[in-house]
Amino acid sequence: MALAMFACLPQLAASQPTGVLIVVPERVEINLFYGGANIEVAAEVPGGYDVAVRLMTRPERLELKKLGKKAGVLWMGVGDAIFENIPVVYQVLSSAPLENLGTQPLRAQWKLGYQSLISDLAPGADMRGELVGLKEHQGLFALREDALVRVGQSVPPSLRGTNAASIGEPPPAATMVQQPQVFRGTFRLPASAPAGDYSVDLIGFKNGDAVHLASATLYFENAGAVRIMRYLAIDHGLIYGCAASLIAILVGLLTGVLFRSRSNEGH
Amino acid sequence: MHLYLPIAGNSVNVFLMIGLGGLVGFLSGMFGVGGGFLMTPLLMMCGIPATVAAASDSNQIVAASASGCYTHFRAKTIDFRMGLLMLVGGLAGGTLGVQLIKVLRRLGEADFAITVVYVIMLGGIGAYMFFESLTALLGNRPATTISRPSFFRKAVQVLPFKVFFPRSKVTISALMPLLLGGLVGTLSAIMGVGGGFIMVPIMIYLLRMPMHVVVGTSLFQILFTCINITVLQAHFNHTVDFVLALLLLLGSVVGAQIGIRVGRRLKADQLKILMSVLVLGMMVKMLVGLLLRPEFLVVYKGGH
Repeated sequence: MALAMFACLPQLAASQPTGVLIVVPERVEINLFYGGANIEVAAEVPGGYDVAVRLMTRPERLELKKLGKKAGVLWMGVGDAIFENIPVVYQVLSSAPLENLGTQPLRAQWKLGYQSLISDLAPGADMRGELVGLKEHQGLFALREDALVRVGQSVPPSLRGTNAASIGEPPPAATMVQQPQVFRGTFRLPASAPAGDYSVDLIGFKNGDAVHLASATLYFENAGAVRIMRYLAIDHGLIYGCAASLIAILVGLLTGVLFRSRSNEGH
Repeated sequence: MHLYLPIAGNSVNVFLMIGLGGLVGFLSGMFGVGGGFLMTPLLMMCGIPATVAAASDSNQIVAASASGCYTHFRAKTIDFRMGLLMLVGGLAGGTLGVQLIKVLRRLGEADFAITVVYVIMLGGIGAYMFFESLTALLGNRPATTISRPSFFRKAVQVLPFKVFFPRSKVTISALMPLLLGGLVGTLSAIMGVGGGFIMVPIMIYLLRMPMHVVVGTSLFQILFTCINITVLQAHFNHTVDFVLALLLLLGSVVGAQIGIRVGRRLKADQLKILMSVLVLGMMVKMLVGLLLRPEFLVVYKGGH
């Protein structure tokens, strides 16, 4: 009996699906000429899986101003809209429409889709559509279904080195095991995506089940003059403010000197 | 060409920012207003967070005001005495205004009250200036001529501490600029603006200052007010983006000089009517914004 259990273990280990996730670039430097970033992802997954790649920052509490009608006529602030556990950036690429990737509870488990991000019972759920609209308008939120494109099948180890095996060609009919697949996609992040660590997760869906296949971390870092400016503004605000005012005064006076008119004054 | 703004956390077109600065600087030079009421919403439309837009714009106004003040100083069209009295009053009034805001917020109707005050002030000032100047222009009669003293004039005459202000060529109680400066400061704090568009009509109609001195004196006041705001915002809120402010001020200092020169070519009533059109335009824009459904029913907090 004990020997039989040990004999099973290697098989169990072998049946746990895994994938490979590559993120390029892994580090993004935010300098004075930064204008957003395109993040390429490539994922190798076991055969037969549909996949979703989720990129997001750490969830946090978000407080916004809610607009509504005052006195039945004027649109203005009518209170706060508070959301819990909302990432600043949230983007999902998938190889198929999300609704085809499994049930909503399954997608909610992996935070795929806006309804999974803010459930119907969560605080602020009534303003979910407005928040999503605002964030999508800023380019910080995006759901791009069918944006993960299958670029071919990996070459299985047993066939590597032979002329007959090449990426994209269907495997020999005698092969019963599905070949691993390769998917590619691109995240488009606007300049307003903040510095920090972004988690990138690869989730595979097959036969109504979902499994976490791989993950990576993307690093956005302030660099050069941006880092120096932020350091001065946050850690030495008083000196920074005085210096900014002084420079503004000097530029203003200098311009006045340059434009000095010798014509007659007054109306 | 784009530059990343370290505090705003966004990227902007360099030439667009310089152009915006130039436009608002032109208005500053021409009318003696700070232009924040125009610049802040424009910056927000470009994706700058409201708090950073308001704070960085103050820094830009420092530059435009300094540029304008230098020119007016050389032309001897700044009434320093009047300006300092109004500034002292303005600082006190601003402090009072901040406390009033706290009271209004506790009552839960701050936003509504502020917005209503803002629209009424803009509409009232703009309309009065417009019709008064239009009447003067059409009637070919200087608007500053008074046929008989009003009740207000009579009341002002009995106030003590009369002082002669040589640059403005008016003799008036020193309490007047102090109190009116306090009123402007209070309203500015409530409405979250520099107050130039309130101060200029007050100087023209209540203090009876000549228009060319009004512009210079107003810029003098705004200079110190905005230095104060820039330093406080940088120190307490860390919301001054110097890269943004630099782009804006490069345009605004030039715009201010051009605005001053254009303003000098116009008669006082022409300048007043143009300013009234600007103020009324602001009111209409604000009213339209209040009446039309916004694109999104949630917005980030902050700003004016």
